[in-house]
Amino acid sequence: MSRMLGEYFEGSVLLLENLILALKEQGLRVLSYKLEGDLPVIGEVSRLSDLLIDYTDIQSPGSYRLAKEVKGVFRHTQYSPKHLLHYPTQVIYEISDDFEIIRTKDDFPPSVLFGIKPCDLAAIEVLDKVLERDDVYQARRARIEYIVVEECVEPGGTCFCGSIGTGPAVAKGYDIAYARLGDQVLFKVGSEKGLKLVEKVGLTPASDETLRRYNEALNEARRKASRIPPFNVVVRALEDVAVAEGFWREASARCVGCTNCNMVCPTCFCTEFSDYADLSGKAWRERHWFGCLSFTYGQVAGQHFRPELFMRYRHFVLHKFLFYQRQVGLPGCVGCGRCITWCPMGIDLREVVSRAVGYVGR
Amino acid sequence: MRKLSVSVLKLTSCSGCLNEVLYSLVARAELLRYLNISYFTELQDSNAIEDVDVAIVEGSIVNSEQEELVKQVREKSRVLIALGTCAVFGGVQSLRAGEDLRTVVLASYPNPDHIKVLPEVKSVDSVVNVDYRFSGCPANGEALARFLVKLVMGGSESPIVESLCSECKRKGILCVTVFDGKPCLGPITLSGCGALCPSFRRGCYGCYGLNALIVDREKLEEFSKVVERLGMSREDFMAMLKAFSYSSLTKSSSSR
Ligand code: SF4
Ligand code: SF4
Ligand code: SF4
Ligand code: SF4
Repeated sequence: MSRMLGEYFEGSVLLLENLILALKEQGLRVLSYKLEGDLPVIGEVSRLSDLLIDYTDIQSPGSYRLAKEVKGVFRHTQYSPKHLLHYPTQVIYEISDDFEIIRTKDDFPPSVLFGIKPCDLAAIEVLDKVLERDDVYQARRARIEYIVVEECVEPGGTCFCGSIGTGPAVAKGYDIAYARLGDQVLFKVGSEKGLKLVEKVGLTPASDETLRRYNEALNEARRKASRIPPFNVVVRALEDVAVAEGFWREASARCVGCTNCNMVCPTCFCTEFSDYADLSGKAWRERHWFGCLSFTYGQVAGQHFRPELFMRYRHFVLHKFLFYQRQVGLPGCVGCGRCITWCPMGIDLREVVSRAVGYVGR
Repeated sequence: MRKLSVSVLKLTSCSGCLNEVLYSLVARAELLRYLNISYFTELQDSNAIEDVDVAIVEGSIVNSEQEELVKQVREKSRVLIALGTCAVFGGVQSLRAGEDLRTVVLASYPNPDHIKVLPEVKSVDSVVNVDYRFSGCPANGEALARFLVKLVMGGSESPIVESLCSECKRKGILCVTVFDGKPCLGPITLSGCGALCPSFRRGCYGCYGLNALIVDREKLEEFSKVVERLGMSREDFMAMLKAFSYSSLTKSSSSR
């Protein structure tokens, strides 16, 4: 316990600025949630005021609003680190007229993920494993020099990481984590690199009082973010309803297969290829995100694995909750709630999986 | 690579799609060298419909002459492409379907006797088999040009059926429905336009046509409630559907 105590620091919220500057001094590009005009995006920041520190994201099924308020609580937006590491659309190689394959040069500079959320980090962990042999992803991932996580003292309207165990705090995989307790910030160090950085910025060890407040806040946040039954209970229930067609027809009755859920999900990784050519003999292959809710997904020569939408919706949910576990040993859903917020129909995954628990087939 | 013989047929439409295709072809002189255009009402005088590799059909069918013409062209072509929302779904002229024909004709033409139209508006594939569809009002000329390159090279393309939202999200556009509360038809509309309207922070009005492989009547009803709640009147919604997805509304689509 005392060793862990030594790993907690505190400082004013302004010290986040020092942290950003210290990272930039190392020649690193700092990437975070920020505003572009009035739009919340993820991209390069250079100072504390670039961060969405005075904004609150108000999320509910099918709706997202941003409110400006001093000491706001910002969770996330439509974008996630997936947008930075696993590009939505990219030419992955060209084929010259003498059939030489030329890999596309990737100019992703050494970077820092700053202020991403615990669920984002859990999603990166999933992508790291799923895309283990994807050299495009891995090359970019290797250029992430630091990960600085903001723990959540107040979950958003669609968050349920507490039930999955992927938030609102982090346990590993980060260099520095911080939590905002009013004007004070509690810092947690997760690596040697992180420790060096903290020393440079001049943080002081956290007082018992700050630590107590931190633990209280995080416990409360965990309770609030536990909006569905515990993950293992959900998994068992979904195993039971996996072949109950009626359940899935009902769950997907309002779904229009638009794939917004796939696109915004920080762990959805599927892609499709499109080949292009010009008549000079040059050809190129483009890779782009592709969602399992779309019709063509699951279509193969002459047949279709999941011709009806309820089958594809079922696949989405079972993949997240059952199959990722078998693929990579981690839950595929990190409970971020993006698929709920950004679903134009407002279909609530929490409701669907909660209903599976105790479902009696008709 | 070999030269492709092409015939281009224009039925009831505004020529906007063909213009888009012409822009794309003019920018690709190298592709034009591989196309032997044997019939194109707007470019040539020839009225003879010959055997061709590729027939491109713009427009919908509103009278029996057009129906005959399309059937002839189908028989004489190896590959038939329906170009634009008129050809694929019926197009804006479908707005008159169900109305009194004489009233409609008189609204635009002083002498209605010259106008030969049937009460129905038909998409090309309700009359003949269509091999490839490039919907859009206007269609994406670049997409067709890229496809023609593949045909010239002896290749082909498998169509990807997805909603506009897929394309919109890949472009990184913040959703106008969820973020701005604006009604947008993207979720039920086929992709292909590059999410043009959402990129200007406006809702899609469905000009690429309904994603009818998924959206059946019940889903359409559910979706209409969402856009209505966001301020689009039912009348406007139905008008957009009729204008850009007519043929798929008249088909009784099965639940996907
Ligand atoms: S899901 Fe959890 S970790 Fe993610 S933003 Fe919400 S509260 Fe934070
Ligand atoms: S975002 Fe909603 S409506 Fe669209 S495919 Fe996903 S669950 Fe269905
Ligand atoms: S399935 Fe939904 S809640 Fe779960 S990780 Fe994906 S977007 Fe987040
Ligand atoms: S803006 Fe329209 S097309 Fe884009 S994701 Fe939202 S609903 Fe779909």
